Amino acid sequence: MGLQAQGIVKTFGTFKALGGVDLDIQRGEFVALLGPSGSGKTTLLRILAGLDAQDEGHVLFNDEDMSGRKLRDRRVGFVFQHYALFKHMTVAENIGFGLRVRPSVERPTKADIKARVDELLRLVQLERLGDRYPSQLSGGQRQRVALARALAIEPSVLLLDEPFGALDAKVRKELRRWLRRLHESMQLTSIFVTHDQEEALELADKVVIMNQGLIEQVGTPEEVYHKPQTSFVYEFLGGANRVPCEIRGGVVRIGSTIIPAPQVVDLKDGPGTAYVRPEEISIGAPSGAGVPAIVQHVFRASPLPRVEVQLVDTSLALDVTLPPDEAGAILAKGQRVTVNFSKFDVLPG
Amino acid sequence: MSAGTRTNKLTLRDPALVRWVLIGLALAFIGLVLFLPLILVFLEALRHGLGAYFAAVTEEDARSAILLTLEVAAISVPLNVAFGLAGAWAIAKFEFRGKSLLLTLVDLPFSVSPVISGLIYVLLYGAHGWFGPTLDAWGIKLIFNVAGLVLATIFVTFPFVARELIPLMQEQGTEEEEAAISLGANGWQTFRLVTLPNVAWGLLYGVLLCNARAMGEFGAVSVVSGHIRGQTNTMPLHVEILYNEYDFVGAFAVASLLALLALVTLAAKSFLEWRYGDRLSAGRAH
Repeated sequence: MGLQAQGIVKTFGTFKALGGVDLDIQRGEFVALLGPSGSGKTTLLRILAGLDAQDEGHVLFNDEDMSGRKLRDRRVGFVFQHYALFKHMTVAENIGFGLRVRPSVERPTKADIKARVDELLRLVQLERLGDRYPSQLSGGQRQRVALARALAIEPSVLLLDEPFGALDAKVRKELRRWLRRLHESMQLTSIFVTHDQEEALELADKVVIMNQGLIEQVGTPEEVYHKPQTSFVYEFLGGANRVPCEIRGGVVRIGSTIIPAPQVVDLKDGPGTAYVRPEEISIGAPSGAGVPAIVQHVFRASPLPRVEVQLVDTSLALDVTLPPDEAGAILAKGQRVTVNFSKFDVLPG
Repeated sequence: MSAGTRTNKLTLRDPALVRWVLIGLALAFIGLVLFLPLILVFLEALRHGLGAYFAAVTEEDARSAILLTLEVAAISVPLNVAFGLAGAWAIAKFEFRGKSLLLTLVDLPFSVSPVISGLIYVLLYGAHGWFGPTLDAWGIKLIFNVAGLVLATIFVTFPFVARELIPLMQEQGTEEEEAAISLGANGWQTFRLVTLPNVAWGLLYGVLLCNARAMGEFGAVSVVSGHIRGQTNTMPLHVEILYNEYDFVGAFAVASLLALLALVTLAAKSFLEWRYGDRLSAGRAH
């Protein structure tokens, strides 16, 4: 199902949670709403679901305005961050809830409900746990019950609020892959909220990056990662280093070092900011070309060695990730080096 | 166990003397203030044997006092369950103007002396009260009869159910209700299938307390009752009358019924907790 948000504004007291958001989601897409806490992503999700009402703007399902429509008409499957399972009901009763509360003319028979619940229990791989109570399940199992419960009403769109937020790293990875397969096999339209960029980039077809109640950029994971359009996206995705610089006559000056930058030709002279990712920085001998720097820390307890260096001219600290073969072993704290940027982007200001 | 944790445990342990003195004090206090009086009620009631006891509690005025007490409780407790549920639901699940005022009003009966609340009812609805003549013209009498007793009892016992439920509902938040609504449940289904079962234990506890107080209330009821023997005397009022007439066996016999009610209430609560303990723990843990 296609889903559109048009000019959504929402304020809580004096806080503007959403400042005019437009979003277009196609049928079958798997969309991530990505942003730091307070960016408005959960608010947007709740408004799409109909759990909260927007102050201005419209939500359209298949070109039909949903404003003022009841939640049950929207047929939205919503998975809550803390699952919100009914504590006093068994797993099976939880999953069947959406079917049991239908008006009597639409309600399936008891046998049909049971069959449907069994089918969903199989789908989420919890066949033998139908009689348990939520408190007797692990976090990952509760998450899957919440998902099965949302799927029971055959939702037109599945909305998930921080679906993996409360799980440990290993379970999170497994569940992520499983959810991706589920989305594809059931041909769902799914939107999930996350503050974890790895999760968003790995799982989604389309990533919506939000900041301070506005959308910064929408695109495929490749687009938002490799072609960030705003300074926020640069810093938020991939933890790019922010290097203040001077733009003058088509070249970039960092401290006293001049660096040629082809794309800068179009930019006006003045102060700018260069964004460079940790893996796009290389470290060379102090006598070589590049920006002079001093090694501050070397972290070797990670898949790729990480080095923190301080630029001599500006006393600015940069994070550098070294390729594994370029053994970080030879670097030591206090050592003088030069750094070179294999790729970077410059924005004015 | 490491040496460190062992020392820790030892330091947390008070010397034997301190422990026994504290336990002894607690037991002595409970014995003197709770247990001994309770025993005494039954001893005094049975002083002249079982025959006298049964004669005292089946005597006509005593019977009508018992029936009246049950009647007042049977009307006021369900009403306060309804008010308490509605009030707690509104306060815990919704944001609105005047919420803290409502919360204060719920607590009011706890902070006002019951005698005063009874007097205020007399002043408002009594024959010479503000609304008395108007009500009289309509043929409605609210004081010195069952209606007045119920009114006073409702006022005094109002906070029990609401006070028990508000913190419980606040702690549970609104996520489960939102989940129910997103799954297509209407308001009534959400309340009946989700909200109510989640607070069932708190509600039961509130009802038991409310009932115990409704049957035992003295002050407010005493003012609005008029003390008409066999007509507007509840059990506590009847006990007082008998006591003032030096009929100690009769007074303690009726008092023993009230004490029994307290014991039955406690036993019922313990039994339910034992019987449905697993569901209780399933409901509490998250």
